[in-house]
Amino acid sequence: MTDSPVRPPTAPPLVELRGIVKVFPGVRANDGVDHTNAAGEVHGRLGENGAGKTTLVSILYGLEQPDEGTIAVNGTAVRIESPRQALSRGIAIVQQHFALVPTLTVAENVLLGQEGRPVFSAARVEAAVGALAETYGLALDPSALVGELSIGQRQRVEILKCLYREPQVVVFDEPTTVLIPEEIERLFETVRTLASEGRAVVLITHTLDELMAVTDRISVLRAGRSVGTFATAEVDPPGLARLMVGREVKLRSAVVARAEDVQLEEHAEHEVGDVVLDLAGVTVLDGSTVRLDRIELTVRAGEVVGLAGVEGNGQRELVQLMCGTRRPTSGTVRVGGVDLSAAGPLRWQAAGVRVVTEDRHATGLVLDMSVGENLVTDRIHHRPFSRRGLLSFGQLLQHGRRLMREFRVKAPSPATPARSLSGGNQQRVVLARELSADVRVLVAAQPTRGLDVGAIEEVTERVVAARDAGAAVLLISSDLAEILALSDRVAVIHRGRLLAVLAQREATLERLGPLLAGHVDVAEVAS
Amino acid sequence: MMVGISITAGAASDLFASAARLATPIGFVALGETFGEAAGIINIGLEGVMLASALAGAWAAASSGSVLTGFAVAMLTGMALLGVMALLCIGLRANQIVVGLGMNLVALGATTLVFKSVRTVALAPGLDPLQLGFLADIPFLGPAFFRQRLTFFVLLLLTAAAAFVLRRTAWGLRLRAVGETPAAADAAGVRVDAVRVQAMLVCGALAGLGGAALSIGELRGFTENMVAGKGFIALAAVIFGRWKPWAVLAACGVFGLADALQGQLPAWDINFPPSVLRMLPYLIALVALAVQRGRARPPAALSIPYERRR
Amino acid sequence: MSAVRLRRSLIIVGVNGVALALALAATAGIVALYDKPVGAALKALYEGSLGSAFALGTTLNKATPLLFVALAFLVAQRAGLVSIGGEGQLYVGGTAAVAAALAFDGLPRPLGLVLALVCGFAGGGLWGALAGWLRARFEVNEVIATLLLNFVGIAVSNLTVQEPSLLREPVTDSASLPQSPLLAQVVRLPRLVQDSPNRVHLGIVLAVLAAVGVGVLLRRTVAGFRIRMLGHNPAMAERAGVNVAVMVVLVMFLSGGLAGLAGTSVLLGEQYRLQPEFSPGFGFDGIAVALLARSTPGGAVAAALLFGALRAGGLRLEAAVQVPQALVLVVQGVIILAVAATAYWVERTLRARNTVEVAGATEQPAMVEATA
Repeated sequence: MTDSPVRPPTAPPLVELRGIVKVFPGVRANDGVDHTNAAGEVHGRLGENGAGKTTLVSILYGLEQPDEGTIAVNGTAVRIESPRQALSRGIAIVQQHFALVPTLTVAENVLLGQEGRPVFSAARVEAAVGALAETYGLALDPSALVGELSIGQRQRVEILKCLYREPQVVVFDEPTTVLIPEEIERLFETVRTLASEGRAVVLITHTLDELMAVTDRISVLRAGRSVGTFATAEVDPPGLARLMVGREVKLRSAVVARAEDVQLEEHAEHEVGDVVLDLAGVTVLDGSTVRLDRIELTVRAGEVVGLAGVEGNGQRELVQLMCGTRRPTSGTVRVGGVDLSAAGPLRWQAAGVRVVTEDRHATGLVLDMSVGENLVTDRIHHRPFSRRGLLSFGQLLQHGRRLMREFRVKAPSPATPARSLSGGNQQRVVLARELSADVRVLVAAQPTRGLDVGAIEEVTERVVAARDAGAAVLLISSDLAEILALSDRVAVIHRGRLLAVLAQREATLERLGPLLAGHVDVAEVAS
Repeated sequence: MMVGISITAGAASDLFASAARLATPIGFVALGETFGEAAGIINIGLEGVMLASALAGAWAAASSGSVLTGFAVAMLTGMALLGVMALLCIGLRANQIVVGLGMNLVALGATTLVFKSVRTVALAPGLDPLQLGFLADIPFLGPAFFRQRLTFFVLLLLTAAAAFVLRRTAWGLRLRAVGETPAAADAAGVRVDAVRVQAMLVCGALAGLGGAALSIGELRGFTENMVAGKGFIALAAVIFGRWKPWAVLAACGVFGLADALQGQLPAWDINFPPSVLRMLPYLIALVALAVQRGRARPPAALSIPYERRR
Repeated sequence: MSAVRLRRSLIIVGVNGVALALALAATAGIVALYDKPVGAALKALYEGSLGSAFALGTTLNKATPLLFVALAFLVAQRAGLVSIGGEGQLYVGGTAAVAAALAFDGLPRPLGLVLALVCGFAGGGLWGALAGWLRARFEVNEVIATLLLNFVGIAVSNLTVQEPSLLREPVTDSASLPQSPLLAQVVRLPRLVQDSPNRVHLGIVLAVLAAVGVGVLLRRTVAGFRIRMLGHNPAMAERAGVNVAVMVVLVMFLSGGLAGLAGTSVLLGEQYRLQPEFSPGFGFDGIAVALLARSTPGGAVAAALLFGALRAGGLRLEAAVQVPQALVLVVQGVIILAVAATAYWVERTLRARNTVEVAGATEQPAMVEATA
C-alpha cells in the first residue's frame, strides 16, 4: 500500500485534503480521508455506492463542510464554503447530474453566471466556446440548443462550462455512467489533454477498467475510509476490486452476518421449483440511451436471485418494468408462462408480481396519505376494502391494524400519515402491502437501504419467508453483503448488461469485485 | 369599381390604425409580463396593476398638469404593486396565482374607492396623435401607423429594447435561465430570487406604463374598471406570442385587430358576430400551444417558487 | 380528534383569524378615511348580510356560485391540477342550462329544471374536460389552458345571446337588448321561502349538497382515493393502476361541471335570463374561497358564506353610510393575500411537526443539483 505520490519532489500538490471527517446522522461518510493531486496528474477514486466518494467531492466543492481535516490549495490552507469560493480557487466540477438550461444554446449555457460584461454578442461567444471545444476535442455546435443534445453532448457542455473558468483542478463525478463506449473514449482524451496542460484531475468512478485506462494514481474508498493509494502502472486490478468490496461483510452488522450464517446453512435445504419469472432478451431504451441490454434471466419458485451492481446501471428501469409502468423496447417478460411485456400495472399485480421499489418516498408510498390507506393503494377497488365504489372504513382500519401488528409497524394508528413514520416503519408499511398479497414473484430493490439494524433483520426475514412460501425472489441491491447473505444465484449488472449469473458457491468476492467494476476479462481469468 | 377599392383601402387603413391604438396599452403590459414569465413568475394580477396605475397616472397627470408626471407616477405605482407581489411570491413563497387574484380584487376595490372620493381625475390631460413627418403621408401605412400617439412609438422602441435585453445581455440570459431551470442557474452562481424580483419590478414598470397609456394616452381620464379584461388579454398575448417580445407585440396587434374589427364591421354592413372575433385570438393561441407541443412550452419553472433542495 | 389534528386545526384557525383581523382593520381604516363612523359601517355590513330576511337571502344567494366554484377548484387541486378556468366553465355551463331551460320549459314540473341542471353541469364539464384533454393529450399546461378557455367560454356565451338564431330573444326594435327570453317559472330554481323578502333559492341547497358530495367523493370513494393518490404522488398512482390521462380528463370534467352549476344557479335562480357578462368574476373569487378554506369542502361552505355575506353587506354599506361597496372587494383581497402569504409557512410548520425524527436513516445526502 503505497501512499507515496509520483510527483515532483519540490512543488507542493495542487490540492491536498488531509484527515477529512464528515459525519451525517448515523454514518461517518468520510472517516479520515486523505487526497492529494499534483498538477498534471489524474487521480482516480474507486468505491462502491455510499463509500463516501460523493461526500468527498462535496467537501472539495464547498457543498459540505468537513467536521475535521484540512484542505490546502497550492500549499495554502483554505476554507471552501460555497461552490463560488471553490470556483474562485480554481476548483471546478463536472457533476453527475447536469445543471443545464435546455432552452439556452450551448454557448449561452457556458456563459451563464460568468458573463463578464453586461452585453454580449452571441456570435463572439459562440466563436469563443467553439474554439474552446475544439481545443479539447469536444465536438459541439455552440449555437445548438442544449435541450436537443444527447446525454453525451450535454456532458461536454458541462465540461466546457468548467473549462471556461480556467480551473486548475477539475473533478469528474461518475462521468461515464451516462455515456456510450465511444463517448467514454473521447472523454478520456479530454481528460488526458487537461492533465497534459498541468491541471489536476480527480476522476470518480466505480468502473475499474476506466481508471486503469486514464489515471496516474488510484485511491480506493470503502465505508468512508481510504484503504489504499496505488500508482496505476503497478496496480493489480482484481486485487483492487477486492479491496473496493473487500472486508465489507465483516464490517457489516452482526445481524446481517448472522443472517448470512443462517442462510449458508439453509441454502442446501430449501427446494427450488419451476421457472416463474423469465426475462428473454429484454432491452429498454431511453431515447438513444440503452438502459437494459438484452437481459436474459430466470428466477424459479423458492429461489432468491440476487442482482448485484452499482446503482444506476439499469436497476431502476428493471424495477419499473416489473411494476408494469415501463414496457420493454424489445424482448419478453413472462410470469408463470404468461407474456406480460405489454401489460399494465394491474395485470402485473394480478399475476402476483410484488415490488418493493428502491425509493419508498417516490414510488413506494403516498407520504401524505395515512398508513391504512397506503396499505391498500393497490387493492382499494376490491372487496372488502370497497363495495360499489364506496370505501369500507371499518375494513380499512381492521386491515391496517392487522398488518401493522403483523409487520410490527410502529405508528399510533392506521390513520397516521405515512410521512410521520420513521424510515424503518415506512419500509414495513411497504413490505406489509406487498407481502400481504398473493406473491408469486417478489422484486425487492435496495430493501434495507437506510434502515437501522433491527429493521434490516426484519426485512431480511420477510424476504426469506416469502422465498420459503414458494415465491420467486429477485433481490436487487448494491450491498454485496446483502446479496451474498440471501441469494441462491447472483447476477451482476453493469451498464444495463448482465455480465454473469453465478451459482451461490461461485459467487465469491474475488469474482464479484471485478464484475461490479465492469471488468469481465479479469473475472474469467480469475476463475 | 375604382371607388370601391379606394374606399376599402382607406377603411382598412383606419382599421389598422384603430387596431394599433387599441393594442398599445395591452402591448406595454404584455411586454412587462414577458419579462416576468421569462423569469418564471406568472402574474394573474396584471388586470389590477394596470387599473391601479391607470388611476394613479391619471390622477397625477390631472393634478400636476403634466403628462410626463402622470406616466412616471403610473410606472412607480406598478413597480410598488409588483414589489408587494414579489414580497409575497418570492419572499414568502406564496402561490403566484392566488396572489394575483388577490391583487385584482384589492386593486379593483381600491381604485373604485379612491375614484369615488376624488372625482377630479376624470379630466386628465391626454396625448394627441402625432404626425410623423413624411411617414404620415405614405399611403395606407401612414394613416395606419404613423399618426399614432407617442405611446405607440415608445412601445415599439421598448419592444426592440426588450428583445435586445432578453437576447443579448447578461441579465436577460440570467432571466431566461432562472425561468427555465432555476437550479441550473443557481449552480452557475446566479442569484435566482434576486433576478426574479428584478424581473417583477420591470414587469410592474411596464404594466404601469400600460395603465397610463390607457388612462392618460387613450381615454383621457379614468372610469371604474376601465381596464375591463385588458390585463388578462395581455396575459394571453404573452402566451400567444410564445414569450418573445416581437411575437408578443404581434399577438397584441392581432387582439387589437379583433377589437377594432368589432367596431368596424357594422360600419361596413358586414354582419359577423363580434363574439367570434373576440374568441378567435384565444382559440388561435390554444391551438398553437397544442399543435406545437414540446416546442411552444412556457418557461418550465413558471409559477413554481424556487427552493434549494436540502 | 388526535393531538396532531387538533394542533393543525388550531394553527389554521389562528392564521385565518389573523387574516380576518387584518381585513377588519383594512375596513376600519378605509371607513375612517371616508370620515364615516366605523361602528355604523360595521353595523351596516351586519345588517346587509344577516340583519334581515332579505339580507340573509342575499348572503346565501351570493354564496352559492362562490361555493360551486370553490368546489370546482378544490376537486382539481386534489388531483394535482390548478384550474383557473372557473369563469369560462361557469359561462358555458350557465348558457347550456339556459338553452335547456328554454327548450324544455314545456315539460312537467321538475323535469325541465332537472334537465337544465344536468345540461349546466355537462356544459361546464365539457369545457373543463377540454382543458384536461389538452393537458393529457398535448401537454398544454392546465393553468394556461384554463385561463385561455375562460375568454373563449365567455365569448361563446355572449355569442348565443347576440344571435337571434341561437338564444337571443326576438328583436323587436333597435333598442332591444342582446339577451335571452325570460325563463318560464317551471324551469327556475324555486325560492325556498314563499312570500317572504328572503329571496334565497334552491341553489344554496344544491351547493351544500355538492360540498357534501365532493367531501364524500374524496374521502369515502375509490374514485376519490385515486384522485388523492394522483394529486399527492402521480408515480404511485400509476403503479396502483390509475390511468393518469383518463383521470385528468375526468377530474377536469367534474371540476368544470361544478363551475357550470355556479353559472346555472345564478341564471336559473336570480337572473332568470341570459345576458352578456352576467358574472362579476365569481369564477375567480371562488378560487379565493377555496384557498381560504384550505381546500376542504366544509371549509369552503364556511368561506363561501363569509364572502357571500361580505358581498351582501357591501350593498347595504353603500346605502347606509355612503362608503362604496367596493370596500368589500378590498376586504376580500386582503383576506386572500394574508392567507396566501402565510400558506407556505403553515404548510411547512405542519409538516415539520408531523415528522418524527427518522432514527437510523443513513441515506447519504446525494450531491445536489442546486449548489449552495
